[in-house]
Amino acid sequence: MKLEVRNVTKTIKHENTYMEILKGVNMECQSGEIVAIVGNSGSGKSTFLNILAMIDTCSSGEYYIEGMDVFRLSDNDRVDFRAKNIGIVFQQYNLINNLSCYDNVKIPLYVNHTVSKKDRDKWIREKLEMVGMTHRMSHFPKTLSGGEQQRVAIARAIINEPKIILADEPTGNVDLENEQQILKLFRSIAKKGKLVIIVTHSQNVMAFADTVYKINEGYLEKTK
Amino acid sequence: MKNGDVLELSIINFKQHLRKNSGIIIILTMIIIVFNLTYSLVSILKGNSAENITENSNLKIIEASSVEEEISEEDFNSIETLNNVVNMFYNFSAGCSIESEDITEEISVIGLNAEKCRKFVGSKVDLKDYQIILNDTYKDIYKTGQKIEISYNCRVTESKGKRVNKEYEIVGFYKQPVINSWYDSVGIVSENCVFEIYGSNYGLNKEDIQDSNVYKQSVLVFVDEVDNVKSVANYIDSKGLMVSYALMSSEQLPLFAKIVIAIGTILIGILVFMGVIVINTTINNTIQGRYKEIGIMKSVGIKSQDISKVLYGELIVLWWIISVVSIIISVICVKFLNTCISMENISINMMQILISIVGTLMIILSTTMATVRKAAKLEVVEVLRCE
Repeated sequence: MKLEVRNVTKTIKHENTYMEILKGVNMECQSGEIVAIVGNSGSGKSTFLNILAMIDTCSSGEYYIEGMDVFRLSDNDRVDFRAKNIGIVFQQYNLINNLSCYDNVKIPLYVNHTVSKKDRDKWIREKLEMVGMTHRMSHFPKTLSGGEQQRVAIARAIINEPKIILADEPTGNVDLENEQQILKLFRSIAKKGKLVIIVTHSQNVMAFADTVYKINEGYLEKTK
Repeated sequence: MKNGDVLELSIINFKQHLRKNSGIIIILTMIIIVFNLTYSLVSILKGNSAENITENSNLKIIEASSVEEEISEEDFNSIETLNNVVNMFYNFSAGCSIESEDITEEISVIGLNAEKCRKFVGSKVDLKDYQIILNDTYKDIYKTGQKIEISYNCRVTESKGKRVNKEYEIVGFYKQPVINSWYDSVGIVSENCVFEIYGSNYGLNKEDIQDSNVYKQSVLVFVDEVDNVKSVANYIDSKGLMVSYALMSSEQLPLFAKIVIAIGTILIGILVFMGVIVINTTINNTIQGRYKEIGIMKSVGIKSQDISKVLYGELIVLWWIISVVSIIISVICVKFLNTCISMENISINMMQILISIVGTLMIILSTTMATVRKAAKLEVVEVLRCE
């Protein structure tokens, strides 16, 4: 599986002025890789990640996943594609507080019609076991620590076995021990043939990643 | 998303937000209960009136009288020939008394020809002069074929009179209807006899009475069905005659029923107004507080239309719970009224249940539609960035 980004730009309007966040970003990644994207605050890392996740649009450019230009997809097709192929892990975990861990992980399965209803329970338990959270599946997010919440968020991101995992500062709010556990998880996911792209400030993550890109003044350059 | 999954997620969300929605449940439940009780109470009050009307054949009788002198022959004929009129005669009576060995009893007599008499009493009796049909209260005292003395005043001079006795043969008995202008005991004689008795009171003969048209001032009209009384009465009224029939007073709802309707309507209006405010405020606040949740659902691939379905699904579950609870409580209240307060026959019918639950659904959907639509169209990036 190959991910390719060509000359992606993003311009936003702020009051009466236009700001170029991304000025022509190019990137190429393969499945099985862990890619880190680093940069200063406000450099456009999260904006770029949102574009890769297809939850935001770019001003111009091309974005290919397995040779398909996903920017040409209609809105509904884009949503379907993201549901099947992309899993997102957020810095703030973004679990739904009114749902248990089990139900949080279940949500993406509502739009995955390849998994039958009777198989859902098996899938959910598998993923929760993979992230080491089976014993807390009936608990609500508010009762979990930051690291535990992030692990549940990772389980949710991988429940549909997407080809690409995008993580925005996944270890930003956790301690060192949890960071190591989360990175181990990402490595095991990558070993299964997934592409993992992590936006980060952390030196540990940069050292851990196979490839590192740096966003500087709207451009992306490969540093590792 | 499949409909089963929409329902599943709606139910899960509904349970989680149950406490926040309790205000809505309470207000809407009260609206339905008040509506059902008011509707049931008014129905029983209307029904009682209608029941009494339809079973009481006395109410098929219309009394009509002329404001001026007499009812013209033309008007009489036009009323008599109406489709729904089964019998009609002049309501002309004279006072007399029954003299027998032990009894002297004051009665009045009306005069009918043979045909009208047969229709009125419902028997094949062929009424002739000096024959009388008494009301059935006399059945135990007299027998058919028995001869009795009918006594009445005969005016001789302005200040003097004498008592005249005439022998009459009893040819039958009849069930006397309730007619406002009639006395307690009314017998039926031939037209000639009533003219004779009436004329004697004034020192006149029967021909004088016939020529004077004094007997044409009032009529009794008998209608085939209670449902047709009003239309016949309206026709008679259009002829310029004064009309009186028992349905006139029964058509209006009793004052108590009007008070019940008024209080019930005001209460429902206040509750609906409060309900709309409570629902709108609660749902608005609840959904706005769930923007992040909606953004997260969208980020994992749930589309806007599915978000709408889930939110509406929660509202449908809310509506269903309210409907069931309120109908159960309404039925309990009705049973309580029937047994403890001895008000019988109050019930809840399917139509009012349908009206109340459909009305509740309309209130819920109309107050929340804009909010749900706005929430479903949220941009993922904007929501998650704000959080």
